[in-house]
Amino acid sequence: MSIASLSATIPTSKRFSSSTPSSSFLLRLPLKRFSSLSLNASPSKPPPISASMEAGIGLMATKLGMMSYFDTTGQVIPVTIVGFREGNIVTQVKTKATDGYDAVQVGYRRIRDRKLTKPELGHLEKSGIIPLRHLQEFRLQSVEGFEPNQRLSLGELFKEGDLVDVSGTTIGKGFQGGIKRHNFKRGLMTHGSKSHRQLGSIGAGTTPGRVYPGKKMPGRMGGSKTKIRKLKVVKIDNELNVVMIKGAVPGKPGNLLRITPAKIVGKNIPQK
Amino acid sequence: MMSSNFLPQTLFMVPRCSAQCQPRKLALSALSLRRPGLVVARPFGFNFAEKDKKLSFLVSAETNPEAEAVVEESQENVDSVESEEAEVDKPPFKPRIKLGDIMGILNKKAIEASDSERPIPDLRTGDVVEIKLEVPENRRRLSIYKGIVISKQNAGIHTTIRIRRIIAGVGVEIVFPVYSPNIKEIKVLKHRKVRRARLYYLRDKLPRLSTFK
Repeated sequence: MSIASLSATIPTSKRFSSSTPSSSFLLRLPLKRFSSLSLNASPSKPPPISASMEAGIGLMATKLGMMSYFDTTGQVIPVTIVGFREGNIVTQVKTKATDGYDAVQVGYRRIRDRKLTKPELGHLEKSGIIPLRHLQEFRLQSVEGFEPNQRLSLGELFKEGDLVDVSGTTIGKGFQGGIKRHNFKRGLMTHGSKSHRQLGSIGAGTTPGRVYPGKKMPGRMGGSKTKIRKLKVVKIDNELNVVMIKGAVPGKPGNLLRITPAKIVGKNIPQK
Repeated sequence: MMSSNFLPQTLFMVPRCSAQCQPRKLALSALSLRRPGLVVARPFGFNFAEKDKKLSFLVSAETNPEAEAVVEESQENVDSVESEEAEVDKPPFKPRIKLGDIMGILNKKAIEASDSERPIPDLRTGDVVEIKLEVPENRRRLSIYKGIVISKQNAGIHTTIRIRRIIAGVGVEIVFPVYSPNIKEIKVLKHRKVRRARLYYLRDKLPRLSTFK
């Protein structure tokens, strides 16, 4: 798979110009392991890269739990164990010609066909794929080498020591106040204070005479999608089909995760 | 043993009336007597031909309980023949690992790996132990820590023990992960009878109770 090989090895043919004054957030991060690449801009203009593009094809996974891992030096590394159900099958390949953008749609988690609606079943049966619960798209720069009903294998895409981005739904915390939700500071607990966990002031006076939209206030916290960037893959176990990722990932054990190669400045820079 | 050839799941398929029925030896005969219509487990790669033959045997056992012994014997013969054929054709059937068991399996494997390199003695609260620790910085000599185990927290591979000792007039408690590769040796010197799992009361007691030469 050309995409897999591109993402798994350090790309040597990626072009980027050093004179981009773009204010994208990715540029503020320091160049990491790709600083040895030459800074000559390629003669042909590279295609525009949008922020929703992935650095490479990813996988969907299930969070299983956390444990400690002793590395060779004896250091204790907190790791999340991430397992894979039956799935990670390419269900559809979208191209610029047919859909206007390049993407690979991947399915995860085999289920009983009675649990899917007929339109969903038909979509999968069109390529002769088993019934899958979750479908997610990975938007890529080039969709070469992907066909429907192709199984994505863990060993080809990720190696030990890779950096990955993991995204998933966070734990829902319910309706929470300003202190927990927005890290506001409490008021005094004694000394005659009457305000302990309240918001305090929510605006200025007669000018502007209103509260700005987006003012941080209590509300529902958690239960939303977040992405944790640049987590290291500590170990890959091939018999149990399990990956150990350093650090914590969103959600509780059993949560659906989306694992993609980390987007680092050296690999792709959005052109504006 | 014939049960090894049978579906592993059936060993856990406890019949619904198990509470009232007397629990017999966990073998084919117990299941056959209780459940005339045996629940067919969901197939995943199991040899259907084998299973049908066994089901037919079960029905006959149900109708004729006295001849159970005879039926079992014949079953064993058939099973041994079938098992030979199966092993010649393909490797033994490995049950699918459930995602929920993986954490337990990983912890167990890690502990076994650590145990094979360096066995850990049985540690309990109240043991006076001596631990030889290797610090990666100075690899030449091992640090030795002696003291009484005041608590043991079981957490799989990260099982830790807390060692307490008075060093130079100051009470010192150190937490050691028991299965760390840096711990070179744990030796139990003595055991003190304690009636508690956590000996935090030693912090308020006289220093001589936590002193070990």
